[in-house]
Amino acid sequence: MDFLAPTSWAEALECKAAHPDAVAIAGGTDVMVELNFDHRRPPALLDLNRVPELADWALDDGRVRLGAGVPYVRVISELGHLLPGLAMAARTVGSPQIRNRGTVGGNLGAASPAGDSHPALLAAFASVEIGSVRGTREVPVAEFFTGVKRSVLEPDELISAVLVTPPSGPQQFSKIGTRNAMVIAVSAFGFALHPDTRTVGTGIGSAAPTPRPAPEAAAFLAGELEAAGLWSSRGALPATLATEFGRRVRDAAAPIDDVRGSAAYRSHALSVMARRTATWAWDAYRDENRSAA
Amino acid sequence: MKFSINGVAGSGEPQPGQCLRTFLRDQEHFEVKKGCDAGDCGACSVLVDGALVRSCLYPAVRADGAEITTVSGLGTPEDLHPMQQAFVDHFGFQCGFCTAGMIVAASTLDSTDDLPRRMKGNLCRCTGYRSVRQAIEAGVRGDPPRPAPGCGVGDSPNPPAARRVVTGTEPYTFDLAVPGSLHLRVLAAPHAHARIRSIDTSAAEAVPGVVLVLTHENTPQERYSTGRHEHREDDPDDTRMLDDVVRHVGQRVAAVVAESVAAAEAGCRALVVDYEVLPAVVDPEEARRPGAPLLHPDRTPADRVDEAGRNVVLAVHGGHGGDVDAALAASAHTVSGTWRTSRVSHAQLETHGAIGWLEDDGRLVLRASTQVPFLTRLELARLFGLPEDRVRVHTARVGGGFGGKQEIFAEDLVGWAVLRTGRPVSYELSRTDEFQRTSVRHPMRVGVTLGSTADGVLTAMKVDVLSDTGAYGNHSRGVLFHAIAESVSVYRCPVKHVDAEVVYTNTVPSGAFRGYGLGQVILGVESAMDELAIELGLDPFELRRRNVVRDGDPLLVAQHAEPEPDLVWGSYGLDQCLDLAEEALARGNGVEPPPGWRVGEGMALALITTVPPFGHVAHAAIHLEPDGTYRVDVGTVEFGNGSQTVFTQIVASTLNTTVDRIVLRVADTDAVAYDTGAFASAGTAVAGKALHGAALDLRAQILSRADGVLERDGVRTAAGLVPFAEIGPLTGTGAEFGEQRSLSSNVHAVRVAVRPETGEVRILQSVHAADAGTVMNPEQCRGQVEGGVAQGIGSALYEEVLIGEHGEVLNPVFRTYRVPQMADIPDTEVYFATTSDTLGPYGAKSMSESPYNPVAPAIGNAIRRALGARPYEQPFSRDRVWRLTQPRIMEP
Ligand SMILES: Cc1cc2nc3c(=O)[nH]c(=O)nc-3n(C[C@H](O)[C@H](O)[C@H](O)COP(=O)(O)OP(=O)(O)OC[C@H]3O[C@@H](n4cnc5c(N)ncnc54)[C@H](O)[C@@H]3O)c2cc1C
Ligand code: FES
Ligand code: FES
Repeated sequence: MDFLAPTSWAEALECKAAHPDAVAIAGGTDVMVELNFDHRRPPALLDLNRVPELADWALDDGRVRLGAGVPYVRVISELGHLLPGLAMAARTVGSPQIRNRGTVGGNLGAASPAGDSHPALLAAFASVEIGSVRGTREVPVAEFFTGVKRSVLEPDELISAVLVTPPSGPQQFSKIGTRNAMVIAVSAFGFALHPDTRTVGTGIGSAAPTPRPAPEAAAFLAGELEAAGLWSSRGALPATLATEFGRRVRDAAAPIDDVRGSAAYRSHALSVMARRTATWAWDAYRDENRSAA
Repeated sequence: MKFSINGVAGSGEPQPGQCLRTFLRDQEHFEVKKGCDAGDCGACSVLVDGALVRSCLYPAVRADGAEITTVSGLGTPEDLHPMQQAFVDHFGFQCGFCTAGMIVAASTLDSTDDLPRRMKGNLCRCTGYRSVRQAIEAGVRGDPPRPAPGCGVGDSPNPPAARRVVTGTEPYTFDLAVPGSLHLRVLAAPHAHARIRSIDTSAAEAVPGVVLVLTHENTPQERYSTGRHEHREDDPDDTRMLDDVVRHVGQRVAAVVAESVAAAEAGCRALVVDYEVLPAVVDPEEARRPGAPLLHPDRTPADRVDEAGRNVVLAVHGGHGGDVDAALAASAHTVSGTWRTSRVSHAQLETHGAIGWLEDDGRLVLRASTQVPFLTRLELARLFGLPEDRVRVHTARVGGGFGGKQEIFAEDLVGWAVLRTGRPVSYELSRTDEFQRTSVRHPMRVGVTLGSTADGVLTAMKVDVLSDTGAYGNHSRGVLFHAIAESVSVYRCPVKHVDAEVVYTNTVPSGAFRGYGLGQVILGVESAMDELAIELGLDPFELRRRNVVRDGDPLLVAQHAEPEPDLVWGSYGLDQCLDLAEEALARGNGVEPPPGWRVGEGMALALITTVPPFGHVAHAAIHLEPDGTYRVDVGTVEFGNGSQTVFTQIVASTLNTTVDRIVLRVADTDAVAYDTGAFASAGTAVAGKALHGAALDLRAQILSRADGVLERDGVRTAAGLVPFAEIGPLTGTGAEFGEQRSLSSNVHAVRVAVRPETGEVRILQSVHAADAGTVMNPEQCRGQVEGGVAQGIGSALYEEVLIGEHGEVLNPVFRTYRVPQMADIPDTEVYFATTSDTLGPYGAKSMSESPYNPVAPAIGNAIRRALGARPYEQPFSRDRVWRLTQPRIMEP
């Protein structure tokens, strides 16, 4: 097994083009488990740790450009204001040791339906920036996942960054696990209010073969808010509306019975989380107005 | 590459893909432990350039140029880091296998806010976390060291190994460099039931580095049981080292011995096995139906398999006092229910394994992670056709066992490979091997029907148990007998009846586990008692008081009308336990439920004999050296139960000396004549008693040489101090045979909050009262209780080894098998009854298994009272508890 250690993004892409079967390794919190368990025996590892372009974040043309190699611990400490939903999700990932190493790029690369970044990124309408020697492309997160642990990444491609417009409204993330200090979610939900476009963002985790948004539920909620004039009046969110939103989110999921829980419970948990996160976010939106006034 | 470890510069080249953990151990930094190799347990935590990482997930090549700090770099036994000192002072470990990683992680904290979340990456299976939490708080505060404790009986001295454990310098099984050692790895069966037509080993043998391939064709084919007992006839002879039939997914098919782990694994992959797949059965009820696939059709009662034609290893049917159905029909009140318990993994952090080699004279030596070195030696000698004295088995400190190491899961293959190759051989199981190939708690289906008078006096008791032993019968018989013993005999009831069977299924074997079956049946009985209390409108403590056996009462299991003759009430403390728990629960602790959650209180009791039936043997010897040192030889193993500490206390108290004068040699078949082993809570009650006998014997010998008062430096006579140099050397010996057994009792009570919407359960108050007789070491004993309670909470709420439709384990990793973390375990108030036992040393009784037993039913009873609906299936997961609130969703 070779260990390729490029020191620049250009070199990394050349390595990947020359060794398409090399496995990229960022924090290694997924890759090393697979190696230790002999689930994978790749001909080469492509170490992304020394690629400076991946290691930072910046505001770029009005968007946050989060390098694929930034560990969760920095998302939490530095990006709570710009990527609030993602920072909330990051706080629930694994343990401190995992958050010190694990990255959003690795979460996307692994493309697990249970990845905690995904619901938050979906709700924030984020995009994935993907590079190869052939060029760079941008894929909306909602189109990134193609199946269980599969994504649109081609063998010669690497993720360079996640691109997210800073929030115009509150964001929430909720995860129900099997115990108090959960490690992986029974199901998870990301929610974002986008008052600038009067839209709602949603992201479902752990309750379908891929992370997915609930576009019908989101459009329904945004429409009802519009119809009732609530975006401008900032009146209270009717409980029946929140509940109906929860129901519609639940209907957008397709969970199965597995080691984390029964399909029935996961669906139910999703409806509870959707209702709660929408209510919390809406309350925060109303508070914003009050504190601004 | 170059790096520095604990300030010492080093260099070396890691293997491709190698993680830092194994690389550090290759550098003989054995303080870096493995609990999972998957990032879940934290035992391998180290600092890389000051950042806390799990070394099992850190590519070793990245350490190029880095400064690595392990627990041994934080401090030394002579000069402890403040966090290490705090772990010593607060008894922050039991087996100590999690401790290296725990201390490294804790050393990075500058605040203890939100500690459970900060420490969620570090699992401890032994302590229940209260002591760990207090240690970390003290360490972060920088508390001064605690004043030296007394070292006699009733004091709380630290374990003799404490300063080594917290610095990573106490060796465990694999913390030994064995030059030239070969490595053994095992090929796992992919089928639940299959006959092996052939194994083509040629490709495996051709793998560079492979030295030997073992299959059923070149290993002893004698049948035995992996489960070990004082009497080998307690277990069925149904297992072969390597069999030509596989009976569960993950069973060993063949073993490859090679110069490196990688070569052994490559050899396993190169084996070509031709299987004839056979029909399999994974459900225990189906297994005993006519026409079910048979797992061991050729075994007979002579092999201790009662009805191989029905997959039944043992059936117990019987009652006394008359016709139970008639008695139930005549009762003023009856309640009935059926409970189910799950497979639970011991999840001791140190996985099983052994290292073996030959001594110069050709004697086979095994250093194994076992609770039973003597029993292992006996069985291996038998299997290999060797005289017993040609085999030596010993242990280093064992990283947890809980019953799972009362088995032979590695020693047989290692021993045979050593004999075949003449070279040292090492075999260390992975966490996934643990789940697939060792043992789990017997899952049981327990039906209980109770009848009572209008006043709540029991009139009839009917218990129906179906236990699933998986593919092999190790411990199946003993566990079933025990399961239906004290759970039933604790109540006075004129009519009792039991129908109990344990059956084979094509699943991972069940085995011995803390509580030994009692907890499962107690769940049924204590839940039914709670239902009866509700039905009668009676307080559950009061209902227990009206029905429990009192001091001196005969203990009657259902199937016999006469009590067992070796059972005696050496002391009685059940009444005190009921009072202590009831008072504490009534006092409350001020913890409020979150708004919208429903609250319920629950309690349950448990009784347990202090020694297993049919004898448990221990020998001990104490040698007085002329300089006043006492060299102590005991056979039993230290695996976190604290027996070594108690031994030093017994010696210190009886011989009026101090711990620094006591040198222990334990857990070695060379140390003493014989010792049954460290199980059935026998450490204090049996080995401790043997040692007490040895100490009394030595004391008498000393005083016969110099008449006076025994002191630390000699005997004070009328003529002055006679030093030991003028008295010794002398040897005192003692032995105990466990011919009589007393009883310990435990009562657990909880107040829980349940959120109906999500099924979340939060324990607001946890209370445990225990009767341990004289409490030899209050801090340690409290730790044993807390650890048992934590495992009970795990079984009650979280833990379940899931089996797929083809019999495979679905969650063989800690990510999906949920060992409780710090955030999951509340502090438990622990109260001890004041009793003194007539049998145990210094009036002590056992207290290591029993705290587990009443916990799950107490929690189930509290959930029942919070929701008005009872959980019948363990674990009471969020999923299941939520379903209780959903009347329309029926269980399939
Ligand atoms: C104990 C433990 C607990 C965990 N808990 C959680 C949890 O609660 N929630 C959760 O979501 N996850 C959890 N994980 C999984 C893991 O930590 C996350 O998925 C993490 O985000 C992976 O990031 P990484 O940088 O470590 O990825 P790596 O292991 O380095 O890589 C993961 C995958 O992504 C690919 N990859 C990495 N970087 C790139 C790139 N730039 N371009 C293309 N492909 C790339 C790799 O080839 C690999 O396939 C846990 C893991 C462990 C060990
Ligand atoms: S061994 Fe590394 S986390 Fe368990
Ligand atoms: S002391 Fe923590 S695992 Fe044993």
